[in-house]
Amino acid sequence: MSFPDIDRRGTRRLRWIWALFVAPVVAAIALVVVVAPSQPDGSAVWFTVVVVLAAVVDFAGVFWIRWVGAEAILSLDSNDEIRVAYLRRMVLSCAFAVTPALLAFAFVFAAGTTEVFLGVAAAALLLLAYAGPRSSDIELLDDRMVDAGRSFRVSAALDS
Amino acid sequence: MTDKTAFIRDEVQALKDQGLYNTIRTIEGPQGAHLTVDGREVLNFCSNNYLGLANDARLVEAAKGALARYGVGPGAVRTIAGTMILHTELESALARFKGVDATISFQSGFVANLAVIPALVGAGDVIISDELNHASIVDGVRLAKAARKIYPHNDVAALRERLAEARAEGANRILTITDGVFSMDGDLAPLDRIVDAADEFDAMVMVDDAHGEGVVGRGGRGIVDHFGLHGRVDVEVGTMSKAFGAVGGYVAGSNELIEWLRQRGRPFLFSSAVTPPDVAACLAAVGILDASTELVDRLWSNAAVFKAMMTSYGFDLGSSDTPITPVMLGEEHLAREFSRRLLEDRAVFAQAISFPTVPRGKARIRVMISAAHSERDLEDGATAFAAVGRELGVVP
Ligand SMILES: Cc1ncc(COP(=O)(O)O)c(C=O)c1O
Repeated sequence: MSFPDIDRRGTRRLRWIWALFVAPVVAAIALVVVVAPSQPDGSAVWFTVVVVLAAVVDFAGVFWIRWVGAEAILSLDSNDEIRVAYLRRMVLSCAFAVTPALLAFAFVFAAGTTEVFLGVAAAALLLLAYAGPRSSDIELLDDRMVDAGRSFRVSAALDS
Repeated sequence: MTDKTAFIRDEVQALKDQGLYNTIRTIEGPQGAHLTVDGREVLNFCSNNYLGLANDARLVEAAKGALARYGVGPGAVRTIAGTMILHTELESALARFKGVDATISFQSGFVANLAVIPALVGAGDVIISDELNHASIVDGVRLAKAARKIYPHNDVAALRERLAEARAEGANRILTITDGVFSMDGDLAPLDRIVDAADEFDAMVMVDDAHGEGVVGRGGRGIVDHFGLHGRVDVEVGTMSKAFGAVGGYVAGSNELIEWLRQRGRPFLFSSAVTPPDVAACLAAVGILDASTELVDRLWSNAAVFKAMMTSYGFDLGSSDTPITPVMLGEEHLAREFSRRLLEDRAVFAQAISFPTVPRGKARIRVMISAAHSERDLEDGATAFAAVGRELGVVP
């Protein structure tokens, strides 16, 4: 297997970056399912509260970053600026989607909060699918560019 | 009750606030080297009337004759009762002029793009389009259900990569689309290399030659003729509204393509045809171009003369390969002020073009040279540019 060339043209390199976020969540799920840690001790409630709160804040952050990021992209002009803004939006929102899952994972072995982890990890995967380099998302941004009297600028930028 | 259209006011205000609001000037007379704008005669550097045919006596006479003979309206969409003998004559004349099997006429070049793209590709297919293609191609692409890929302007290596990707992803049909002449910079598409790349991947090629018809190629036969690519470009889109001086659009290609557009080109099927006087004027224009290269030659020599004068004054004219002459100024406010001074102080009508039509920092005044300009007009124009350029510190 060749090392992913993230400098190459086209949207494929974005998938490699995205995979870096998906991989740890999938690995953590696999590990938890295989190892099946022990029953919760008395502190599980607190850990659960912390994880769920973190998840609510971070998952909301995914939507917020995507919204702010989209507005930023639409105001930009050059291919380089648009590409960087798109990448930043994707990476940041994916990071926010992943963080609560990793936090929950850390508590699985300490507090045995397996179900909580699995729930948060599943939600994180869904959000990663949403925040990743989807062509429908890129087309939506392109359509907004066109509606503003411009052309398919986002595709053009990501493909340049 | 709520004001249901209040959003329009807000949107218009936003356009004004961002300096994106279009102010439209009204011309009080025919098109030509000189125009009457707001009651003043000005030198016209704005129109796409490349050959000066928009008010040519021969076209006017042809239109009058058609009015007397066929009346003003086509009566219906062409498939029902709107195809007049004039429409078919125009299509045959254009096919002969272009050296193709057949053509089909549409109401405009814009409409021709909307008609042809969704007719050729749909779900499971891929469109690969230059990032700077005209808005009508963008809209045609949006109408089609095909996936789209965009390649950087005139970058054939990137196009080849998109083609390879599309094939790897299992695309059924692939349609590559490019403008022939890009109207903001006046540069040509590298159509020869685009066609080679497309052939390699068994992709169709479509070129929108709106600014090339009547301008490039032998006697203005377009970009396909310019590169000697007859028979290798699947779809040629053209307009009658620029060099040909009238209005309307067309698609040129094989008999099969044209037959298919008669069956599946939605604007052909569901919108009435261009009126008889328009068609007669177009026919006359094609006849003029077919008979002589005089106007096209004059257009190019005018462009060479004007560009030489402007270069000698120190202006940056970008990378135009055609009579389109972008005078590169950079900053948007500079371009706007330059255009305002040209019009108000020097009676030269030349439009500033800025973001979002061109990238930020690449604002310009686009001078549209025409065969209708006299040598004196070109000199006056260049002198006016030099004077304003000096006032604004653009040239020494
Ligand atoms: C590349 C291109 N295609 C199509 C058009 C539209 O042509 P028409 O005015 O005939 O609709 C234009 C006109 O600006 C153009 O530049």
